[in-house]
Amino acid sequence: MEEIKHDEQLLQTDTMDLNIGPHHPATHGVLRIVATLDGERIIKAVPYIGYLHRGVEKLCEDLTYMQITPHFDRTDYVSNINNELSYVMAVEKLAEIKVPERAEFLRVIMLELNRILNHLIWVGSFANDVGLFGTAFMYSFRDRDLIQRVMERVTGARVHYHYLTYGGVREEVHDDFEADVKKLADWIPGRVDEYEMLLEDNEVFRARTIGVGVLDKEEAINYGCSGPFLRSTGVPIDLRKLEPYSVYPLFDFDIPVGKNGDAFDRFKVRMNEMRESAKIIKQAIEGLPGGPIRAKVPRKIRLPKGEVYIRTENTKGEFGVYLVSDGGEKPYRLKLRSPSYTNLMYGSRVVEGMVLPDVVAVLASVDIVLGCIDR
Amino acid sequence: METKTKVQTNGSIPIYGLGLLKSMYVTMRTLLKRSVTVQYPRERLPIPALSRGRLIMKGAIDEAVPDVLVSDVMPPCQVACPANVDARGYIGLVAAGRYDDAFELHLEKNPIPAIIGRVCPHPCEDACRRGEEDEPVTICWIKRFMADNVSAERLNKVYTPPKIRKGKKVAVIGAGPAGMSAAFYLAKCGYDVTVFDRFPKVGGMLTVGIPEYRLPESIVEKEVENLKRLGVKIQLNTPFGPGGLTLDDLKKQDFAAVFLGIGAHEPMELEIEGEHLIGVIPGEVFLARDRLGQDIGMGKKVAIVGGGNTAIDCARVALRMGADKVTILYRRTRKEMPALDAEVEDALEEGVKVEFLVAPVRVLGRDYVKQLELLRMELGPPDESGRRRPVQIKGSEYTIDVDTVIPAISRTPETDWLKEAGLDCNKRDAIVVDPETGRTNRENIFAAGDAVTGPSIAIDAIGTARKAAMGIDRHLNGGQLSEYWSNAFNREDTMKNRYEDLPNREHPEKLDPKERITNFDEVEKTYPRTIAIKQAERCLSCMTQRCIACHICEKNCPTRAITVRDSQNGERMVDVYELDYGRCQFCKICVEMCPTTTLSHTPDFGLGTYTRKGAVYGKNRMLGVDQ
Ligand SMILES: Cc1cc2nc3c(=O)[nH]c(=O)nc-3n(C[C@H](O)[C@H](O)[C@H](O)COP(=O)(O)OP(=O)(O)OC[C@H]3O[C@@H](n4cnc5c(N)ncnc54)[C@H](O)[C@@H]3O)c2cc1C
Ligand code: SF4
Ligand code: SF4
Repeated sequence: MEEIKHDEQLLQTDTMDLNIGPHHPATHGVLRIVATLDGERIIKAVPYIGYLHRGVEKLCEDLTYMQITPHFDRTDYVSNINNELSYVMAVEKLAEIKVPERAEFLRVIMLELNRILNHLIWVGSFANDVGLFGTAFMYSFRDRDLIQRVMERVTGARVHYHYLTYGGVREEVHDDFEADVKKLADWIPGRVDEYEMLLEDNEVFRARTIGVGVLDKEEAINYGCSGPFLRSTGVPIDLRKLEPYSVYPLFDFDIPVGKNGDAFDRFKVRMNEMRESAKIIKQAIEGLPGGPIRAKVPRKIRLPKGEVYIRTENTKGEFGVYLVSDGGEKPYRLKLRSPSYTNLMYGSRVVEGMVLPDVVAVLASVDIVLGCIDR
Repeated sequence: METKTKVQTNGSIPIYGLGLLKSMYVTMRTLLKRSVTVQYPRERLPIPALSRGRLIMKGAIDEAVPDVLVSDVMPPCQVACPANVDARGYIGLVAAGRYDDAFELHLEKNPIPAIIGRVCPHPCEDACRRGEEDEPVTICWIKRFMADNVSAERLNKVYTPPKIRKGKKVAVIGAGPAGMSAAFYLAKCGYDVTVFDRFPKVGGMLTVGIPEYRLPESIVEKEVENLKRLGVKIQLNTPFGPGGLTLDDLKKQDFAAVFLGIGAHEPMELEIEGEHLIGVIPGEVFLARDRLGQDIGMGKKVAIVGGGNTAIDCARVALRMGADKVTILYRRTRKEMPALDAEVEDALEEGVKVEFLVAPVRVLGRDYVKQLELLRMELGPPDESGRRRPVQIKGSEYTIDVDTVIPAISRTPETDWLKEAGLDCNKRDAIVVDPETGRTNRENIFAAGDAVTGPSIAIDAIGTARKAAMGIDRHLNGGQLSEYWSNAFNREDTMKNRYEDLPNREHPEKLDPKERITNFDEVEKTYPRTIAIKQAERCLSCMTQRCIACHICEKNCPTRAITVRDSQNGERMVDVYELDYGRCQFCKICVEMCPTTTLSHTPDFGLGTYTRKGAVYGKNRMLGVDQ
């Protein structure tokens, strides 16, 4: 008896806790993952968050409704305008503001451009993380800049656009806007083809993504996952279709889904989403109506007493804003629901049982922004 | 020794002795460098001609409507005013103690400020930018103060007939606010104006509608005296239409043009059974009888139907005439009531009862009114006006005992005689005109006021009448506008130097409710001087492009990057405007909030690389550097 026991102990090695991050390029921000390793296998991976906590929710309680908007650019700093949308829609819903049609169209155009920006930055860094250092990253950042130029001419900023406001958008577009955006919309699908060509058949890329980080459909839903992360498993949930808002119902577009729910599918879903976004932009710019870009709303708005939860599909999934007003000029409480957060929680479950290098691949495929997780 | 060498080889700054001082100096210098402190430009910034409305008023027809062209740079109060009165301008002058100038400026858009200052429901105050900060500026009470404090000399100067005579006669039919305004402007242009009215008194609805306790007759009479001094002839008791004069008669008398300001005097009917019994008196008739000294025929228990200002006026007059019980019946709720809140409050204070969600269905009685049958209502979904539509509750009828019923629901213009004379009227009996010139379909005939717009408010009548007067002038003056219109007041002069932090509006003194229902004395008093000036200084001088040291930018900056320091010499002016570029997140909220539009931006105010077209002012302008 004694001897056998001894043998078993000999077969087992001690587990080892490995700190990944907080300062590590693969964590996409300041995230610390403590991975418990048995040899190279991961037994458990626990994410520790909060390094980027800025107390945005609390801060908002001390800001007027107008002052809050720019903070939404800074929660998820890669899908800025998409975040602003949830917030301004919440204010609009409580204040019963009707947004002019032109503003809605401009919003959709900017939202979709922003979505493409997000996916471009993702594909670059994803390729980097799975070991294809350089090329895709360079390409995607070059393309990003071309889109950013157009957005900057409209909003005046390269990253923190602060473009939406309750009642509409803040700036009228420049004269060449339509031509510029049309050009972009025609050019983007071609670029997406190139990324696919570059990565899809690459042996390294395939080896590191196919069958890696396979999600379970039901468990993903149970965790509250959303966005391309969830859609890669074949669940066609997209709030733009499920709970249409703004003028999305006017446009013809599809929701790309994956099959296997692995990292490769997540790549495919995002690539196809860019194509769909380009489709939406094209339709929106062709149908862009005239008229005012902003409803008549007081600058210092006082919302009636009440609460509201608005969720929209941002680039990473369901981004929600829960807003409670006590009738004053500042919110009583403002709570954000971050898709990155829920997706990361499931993502770190999935890596259990994989080998260490896959953690990086899975983490990259989740597409997180710590600014949004920590808030 | 060792340590010292070490520090030096590392190239960092020593941490003790002289070195410490030096390092502190370096830190301070870097810190100071981060904020840019500049002298704020103290001289007046040039005002683009367009923002002033008047400069381009000569010449081609299209240019004669500058208000439309420049609406985006007018202050919100002026945009909201139906006559586009330059509230910012005269408030600035009142704040400077220059009431006479303020009065003269006011006359450019509204020739009867003393009246309007008493009765206007002031849409300007609803739009006032200050209202977004705390409470709107008391524009209307300031106006009244100003109009009551004009010096006799200035009145003399304003009301001397112009030297240049046009030698053409213009007839004005109707002596209401529309007629009075048209007469004023045309007389100022040098025409010989005659005003006709069928009533023995001047003022139109102002006299026969609005009760004495809100607008004393002496005020209206004063305005009429002024008009007479301008050379306007007034011919009362002269009805037009059936049994009176016709438009052709005027032509025979050599009138070159006719202005129709006949108002809307035909009461709308309830269209219910028993409406023609004795004791049912339409609101307008009720009020007119009171003012013209006729027998009213009112009993002791009075029911008034309607929720507008006329209904409130009728109720308060009925109380003063000795009714025991006055009830207003309205089919919606207090929230939907079109009457002004302050008026409703006053009426309630005086003891008027208001029943909500009821509608009359039948007036009961033989010959005389005995009872009124009512039906309860509830609110359904909103109709096209956005108010919720009242829906009847079946079987909820009940009756109340009354001896007088006053329907005060609405009124229409009496235009049958005009239709016979060939004028176009719409299905609500209003005269159809070209909105910019007041021209009707008949040559030489112009119209404005309630007769064109349907029942509205006095300042609306004045605004349309002014446009029609311009139309007449251009028509008679060979397609050109007279010189009068281009003699604009120097607007740069009206800019305010002081700004008041005081968050609250002050209400002028009011008579005690118990006392006031016994007589027709004016309920509200005029502001005393000190209060008027303090209140005028609350104005934010919107869109003047000149900083007034309101600190709104500072208060609204989400990152608190702005510091505004006032000048120390007692004047409310900004000496130092400091923007900390280390904190600024380039959200441009300051620009959006600045009421004066002093702050504006270009994309180079930010971290961008490209310049947007069309934006003129930017960081450089803000910082006083050359543009
Ligand atoms: C009870 C009541 C209260 C109101 N309170 C306010 C208020 O507080 N504030 C406000 O801004 N507005 C108020 N209004 C509305 C305001 O009085 C009118 O909008 C304004 O007076 C319209 O001006 P007007 O010159 O177009 O017409 P009116 O003032 O109606 O003047 C028309 C004149 O034309 C004369 N006339 C008509 N037909 C003929 C004819 N055939 N021959 C000769 N003369 C004729 C009439 O006798 C009358 O004197 C009130 C109205 C009513 C009824
Ligand atoms: S603050 Fe002064 S200028 Fe601005 S809207 Fe009010 S009254 Fe007009
Ligand atoms: S908001 Fe405008 S007017 Fe007020 S202090 Fe700032 S710059 Fe001056």
